[in-house]
Amino acid sequence: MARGKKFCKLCAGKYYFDYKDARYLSRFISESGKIMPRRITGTCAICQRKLTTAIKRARHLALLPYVQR
Amino acid sequence: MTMRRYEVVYVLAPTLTQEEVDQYAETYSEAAREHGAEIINVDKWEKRKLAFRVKKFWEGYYTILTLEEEAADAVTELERRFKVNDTVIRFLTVRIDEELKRAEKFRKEDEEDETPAVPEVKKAVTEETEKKEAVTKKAATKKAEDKEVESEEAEEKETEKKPAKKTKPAEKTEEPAAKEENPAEADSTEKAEEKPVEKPEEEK
Repeated sequence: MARGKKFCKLCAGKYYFDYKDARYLSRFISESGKIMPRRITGTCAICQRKLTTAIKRARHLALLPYVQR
Repeated sequence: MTMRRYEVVYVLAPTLTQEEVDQYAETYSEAAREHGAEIINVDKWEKRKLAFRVKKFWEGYYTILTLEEEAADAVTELERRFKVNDTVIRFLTVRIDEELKRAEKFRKEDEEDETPAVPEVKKAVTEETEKKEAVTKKAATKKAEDKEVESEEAEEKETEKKPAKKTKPAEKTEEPAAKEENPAEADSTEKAEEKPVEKPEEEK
């Protein structure tokens, strides 16, 4: 019933993070290229899991950096 | 058998020309078709900067093949070809049909959840907003009126203040003088011990 309301604002509109959208995903990585923790970005647990996989896929395709100096 | 949808992304070396990139896209999609896959979409990006150096290249051509098939024959074939081809810098295959399904499901559930609730909420919101707007308008008009009044008052005050100010400095000048007198007394009390003896007498 209230399943949809429980989600954070990120997944309210969409439940899939596109690993090809590097600009969007770059909001969830720190300056050094690390994935931002949940306590800072405020993503829900489900979103964070999907985000990490998306970011890791993007990294593999060299869309996002592994490390940034 | 359910159809599985895959996204096959591969990155080609920047040394190739655009025509060669197009050729590769065609050959790969043809190969996928031969292995029983249905090509849904071919998305070719322009030459793009890589986030880091891959095989001594800083740029690459990204191509995204979206295909549908029952078994993963075409995907395995494509991956084999990518491994053999030196101009393919990177490749990634992702199965997306389940993600799509889940997204669809959530969307439907959301719609079901929201459809009865939405009109009420919207009405409430609109009412609230209207009220707010009315209030704000009233407030604005009131404020405007107040401002006018205030400005008038302010003008009056200013006119009042000017003489008041004139009087006040005079008072102030008096006060410091009084204060000066007191410290003088204090000093005198400190300096001369005789005077305090005199003061109580004066007060009395």
